[in-house]
Amino acid sequence: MALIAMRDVHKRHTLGGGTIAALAGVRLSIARNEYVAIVGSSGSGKSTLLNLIGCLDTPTSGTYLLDGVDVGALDGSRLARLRNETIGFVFQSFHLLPRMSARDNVAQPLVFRGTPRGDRRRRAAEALARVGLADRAQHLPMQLSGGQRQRVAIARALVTEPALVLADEPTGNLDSESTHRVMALLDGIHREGRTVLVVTHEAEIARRCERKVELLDGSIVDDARRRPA
Amino acid sequence: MRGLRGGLHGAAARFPDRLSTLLEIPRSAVASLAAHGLRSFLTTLGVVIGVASVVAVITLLNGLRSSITSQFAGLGGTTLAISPHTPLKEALAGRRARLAPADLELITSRIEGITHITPLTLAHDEVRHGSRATVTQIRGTTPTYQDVYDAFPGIGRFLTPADDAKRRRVCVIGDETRRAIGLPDDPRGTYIALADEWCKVIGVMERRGQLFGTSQDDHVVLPYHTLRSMAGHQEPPDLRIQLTVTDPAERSAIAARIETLLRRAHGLGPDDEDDFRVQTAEEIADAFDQLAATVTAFVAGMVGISLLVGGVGVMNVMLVSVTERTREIGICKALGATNRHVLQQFLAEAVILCLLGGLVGLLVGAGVAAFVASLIPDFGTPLPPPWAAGLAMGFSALVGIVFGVLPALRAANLDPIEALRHE
Repeated sequence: MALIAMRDVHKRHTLGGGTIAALAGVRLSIARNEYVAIVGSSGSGKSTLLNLIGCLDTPTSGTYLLDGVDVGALDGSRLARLRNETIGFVFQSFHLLPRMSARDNVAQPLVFRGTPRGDRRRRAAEALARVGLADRAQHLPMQLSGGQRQRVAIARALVTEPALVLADEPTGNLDSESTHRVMALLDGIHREGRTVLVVTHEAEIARRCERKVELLDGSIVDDARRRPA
Repeated sequence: MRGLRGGLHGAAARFPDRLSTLLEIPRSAVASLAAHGLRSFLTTLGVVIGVASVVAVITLLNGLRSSITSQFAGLGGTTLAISPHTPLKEALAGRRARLAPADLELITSRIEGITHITPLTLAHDEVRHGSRATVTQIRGTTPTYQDVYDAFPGIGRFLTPADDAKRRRVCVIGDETRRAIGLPDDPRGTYIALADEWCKVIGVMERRGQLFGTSQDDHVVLPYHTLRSMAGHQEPPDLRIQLTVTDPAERSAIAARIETLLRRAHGLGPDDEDDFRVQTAEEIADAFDQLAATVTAFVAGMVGISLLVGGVGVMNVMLVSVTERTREIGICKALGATNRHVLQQFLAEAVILCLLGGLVGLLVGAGVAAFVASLIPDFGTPLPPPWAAGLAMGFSALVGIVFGVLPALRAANLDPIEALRHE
């Protein structure tokens, strides 16, 4: 069974009285442990697709099954629980909580599932160690470099052991060295057996993935598999 | 692969673990309030002031009430006090109701079941000894005063029937008055000047302390007829009458009989108001309670307004906080926070903010009450009654909930995508 199965998915946004079709009939199937790049110019519907896959939004029409669950039929709190259980997010601008230490940021998703504090701290420390930031656990986000922040965000995405990691332009705000480290981490996450989806407009990043899905005007125009170089 | 599936199932199993979440909410609420310490403090000022004022007033009234209760305890359930009372209409016409010696004689001769009865005339005048003088209360009364008021001399003796009958120029003085005019500890046999008449001191009353901040030991007690003869009958005497009844159960019946008797004696028609009052010690305490209730209601009204203002302040700051933290809310939602998580978080912040305000208000109120009490001698140090403390905290929490709901709902209903995009 595919982890992600989208059939004829449409998404329309209402804007100033009119509606805009952000996605027009997307059909997409992604199996477990795939490493997929989603590319396309701005306005192509990448973000909308990512929001749908990430269960932050539901399709206007069509069906989306995530791990066999029909996302379109879920209410807000079930969507939240599904996100918490199944998906790890990595954002372009890191989206760390500014007043919390790196460790507490990483532990935050566990708060929403009611994990006891001691457990949370232990697992957050483990996740930070996995991204090589064990010694930065008590630092606030503003005390960390951009690359370090993104690695904290990756640790946060991993702390719940999600089946799917969604990375939205994860290296968009990083220098080349940090980019390299972050991508190496994503490669590692894929090797662990997780499904990794990277939205990017950088060809360099897309080339690392096994599969490249290209969007244009709300439709998939190319879906190519290849072995990473 | 094992860790991945295990993680999913483990997560599902851990979701019902509510206790940890319950503890987590106040913890992170406190953390985010602490992040804006000054703002949080200023926000709660309204609540602080409201709670502090109600706690201070209730504490003081409570302290006053207990000191009154202990004062009246000595009078017991057998005392009746009769005092003149001028109805408002009469007072406006310039008349003043009085109780006359005839009233005293009438009650003494016509009412049965009285153990002791004593008249009391009150005046203020200067007493002098040597070069020292003080203005004090002059009480004219009879020997039964001791039994009726439960007040006895500590040194020397009280007035005797013979003192009164022979209009002897003798007096018993309060300890405060004794000090004021520089008499020795045992002033028996000393003469003091009272309105240009000499009076021999025969005793000093036992100390009674203070009531309502007024000394109860600053007075001079003379035989009733002595005082009347000194006043030279120029002015009609103005009496208060205090009596004790033999059977406490008969007291209200006796009070009613006295009322009927005096109304007839004063020639009052059926439509006229009483020009006197017959009160029990309890009624006097009740009158205080009524006053206290009025004051409390008034303060409660003021506090209600101040809590309203405080609540609006809290709501305002919470709304600002929701706007400021829109992106954080979006992040938390992406990470799996439900609307309920967010609602609880913001509601908890509002409630904790108000509870902290309530707690500070409680402490400030208790402090103010203690300070005011320290200015009143013999008042003791009143503590806020537990029910007032509970009420203060309860109201604070209620304000937090009522005024926190709107901002919390606004936060909870934010769309995660919009919220994440928020700068």
